[in-house]
Amino acid sequence: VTRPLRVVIGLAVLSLTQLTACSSAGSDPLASVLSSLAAPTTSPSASATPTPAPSPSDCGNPEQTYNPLPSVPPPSTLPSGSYEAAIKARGRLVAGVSADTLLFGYRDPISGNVQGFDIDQLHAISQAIFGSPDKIEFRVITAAQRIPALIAGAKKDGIEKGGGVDIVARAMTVNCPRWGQVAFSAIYYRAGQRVLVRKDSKATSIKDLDGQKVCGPIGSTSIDNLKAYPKIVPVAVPNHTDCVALFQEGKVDAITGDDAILAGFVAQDPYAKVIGPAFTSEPYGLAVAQGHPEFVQFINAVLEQERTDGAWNASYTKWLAPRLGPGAGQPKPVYGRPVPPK
Amino acid sequence: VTTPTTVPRPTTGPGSFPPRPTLQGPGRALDALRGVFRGSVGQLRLIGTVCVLASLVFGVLGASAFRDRASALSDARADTAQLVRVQTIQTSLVQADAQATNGFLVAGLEPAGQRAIYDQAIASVAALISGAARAQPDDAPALGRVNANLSSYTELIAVARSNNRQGFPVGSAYLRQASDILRAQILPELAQLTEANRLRTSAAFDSSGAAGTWLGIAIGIGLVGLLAGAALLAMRTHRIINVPIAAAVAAVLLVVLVGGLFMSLAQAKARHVRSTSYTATYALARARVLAYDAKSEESLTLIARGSGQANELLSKSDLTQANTWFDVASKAGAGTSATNTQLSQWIEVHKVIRQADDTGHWDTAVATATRSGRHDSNPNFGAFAATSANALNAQAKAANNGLTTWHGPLVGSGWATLLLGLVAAVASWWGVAQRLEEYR
Repeated sequence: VTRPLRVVIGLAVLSLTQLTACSSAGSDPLASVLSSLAAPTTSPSASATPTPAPSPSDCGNPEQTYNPLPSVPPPSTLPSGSYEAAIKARGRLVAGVSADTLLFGYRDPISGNVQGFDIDQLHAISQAIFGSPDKIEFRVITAAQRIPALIAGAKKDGIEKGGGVDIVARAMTVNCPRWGQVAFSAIYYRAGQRVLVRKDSKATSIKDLDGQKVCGPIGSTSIDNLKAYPKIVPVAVPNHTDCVALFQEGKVDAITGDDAILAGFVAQDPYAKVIGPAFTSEPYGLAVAQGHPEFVQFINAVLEQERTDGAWNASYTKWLAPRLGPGAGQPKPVYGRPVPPK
Repeated sequence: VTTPTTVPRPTTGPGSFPPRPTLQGPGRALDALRGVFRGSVGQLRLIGTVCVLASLVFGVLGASAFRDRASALSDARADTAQLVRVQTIQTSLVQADAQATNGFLVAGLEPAGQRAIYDQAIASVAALISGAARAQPDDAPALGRVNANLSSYTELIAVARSNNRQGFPVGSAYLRQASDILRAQILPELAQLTEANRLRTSAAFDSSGAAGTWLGIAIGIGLVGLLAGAALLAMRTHRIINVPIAAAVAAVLLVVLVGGLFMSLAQAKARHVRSTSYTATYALARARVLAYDAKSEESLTLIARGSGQANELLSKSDLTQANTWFDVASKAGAGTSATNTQLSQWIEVHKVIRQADDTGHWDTAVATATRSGRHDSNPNFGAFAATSANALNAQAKAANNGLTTWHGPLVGSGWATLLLGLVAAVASWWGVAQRLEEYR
């Protein structure tokens, strides 16, 4: 091979090696970062999982509660060592409430205040503990979170860090299975379950809703009670008000719930009506964690005081009477439940 | 060795059949071809054919290698732009949602300014979606789904607002539905699109690398063919150099030197862009999406009012990941110190909000989250948002410019290579033809 050819071949080889050296555009620097971030993230919703209700145990009459204190003690002389004294020391009552149940517990979009019949009961308790009605921290919870929030609140730092609450005032029905997990005050409202349908519906009671979709909140007695109507298709959602949105969108045919709550829904939707007689009795109590019967006794004294000073009636007149009529007055309490030993 | 034309052609493979007389046509053509390359003249013709073919293969393959690299880099540029577009859709949507959510946090009438920011963000999302669907038709079906969900989302927000305006708490149920559509449908779809475009960009960078190999093969074929031809010709004709073939070799070498230089420089630039401005663009866009989401979770935590622990944890994990991406961007050469400082300032405000909410001062927390004073959440986050947007735009522009620089020279080299391949083919045939003349 001649010299010029050798030079040419040499140059070619040189260029080729250079080309192959550049053939890669570099590895992907993002791939390693992405794989390091792909580690699974923990989903933190422990408090949102409903605690399974224990099997119905015999609690006697579920409406029966502990005897009230003889009178509401003044805030300066709360019994030392009591739960109410601990709340006073903390400086605020932490309450689990609904923020979207018109009439009972809702945040008024215009004023921003949480208000309603349930909330008035809390103001009375705050007044009794602090001498001021507004020392309340509202924690908005779903129906299914009521018992878990109380159980979390009973643990150490459960209020501060565990999303727990001191008390639940959220249209909560008193019954034996729940007495197995929490304690209840005297009944402060007696509701009954009914159904809400479109104004043009021909149904006259829940018995006419076979094969239709009926919406109710997860973890509520309302949805449990539908089991008595096996041909109804139950639709359970986290918040009762979500049912109203689904109803207005035509995704469910009816909403079931307590008459008082359904009245709040009708107030928001003129194309809805509540039908049929109440097919259950739903007595509402204020719920607290087990282990503090003295706090239940304190609350019962507050409810008694509301009876005598007219606060209960004033609250009923303000929130419920316009929608539900004059009503039967503050429910008659049943006392005498034996206080469990500490 | 000569073969009589009447003898059947040798069989070409296993399972041969006896020749059929009807196949005389093609057989005759093949024999004629064989005749052309027979004897000394024929060998010269063969050498010429090899040189011409090598030159043509070199020209066509080389030109397509240049074109491949040019279009790969142009694809990488377009894919990077699409990546930024999709991630901007994500940030704008999260921003719109944060505004709508904030509107519910503030009691009373939604401030007009906040409503305007929401409307603007939704309008820009709609424009970006149609732009992105035009720019990358492969993304169009997913973007169509995003668009359909977006109209459900805006409709639900509108219903939520009108209920809110009447003082009906059912508004909050519609707000939840809207938020669910955004977080369960729209954002995951956009995240998949982001990933698809990242992979697309990555593939474009990789295929740009493959073009170098093809050019190497083209040059190899050209040089080996021409040099082999030249060497065989030299042995047969006892003349060391055939000027036209040497010129053809020179043409190939010109491509090796000049084209190879452009090719290498373009590739070096691409590699640089990939490890710097492209990486920084991606990382900054990613970090911004996460930071916006953290801001939005701040509002959702407050809306949940005491039950928002899950939202706060999401906010924390968003910020941790955002910091990782800012580090990536910083290592890739993006100036992130101002961005980091501003993000830290917002995080301090965020901590104040959480502290207030956790100690029972929800109203104070909401005020800090929704007002626009110097120590409130919105202006602090706004400062971060503006600075990080500028940093992102600067990096996206650098990536775009870097990937555009060598486009012209590569396309030019492609055409030049095709032309030189043709010139080399003509020259080498001419060179052989000179020798053939001597046999006439």
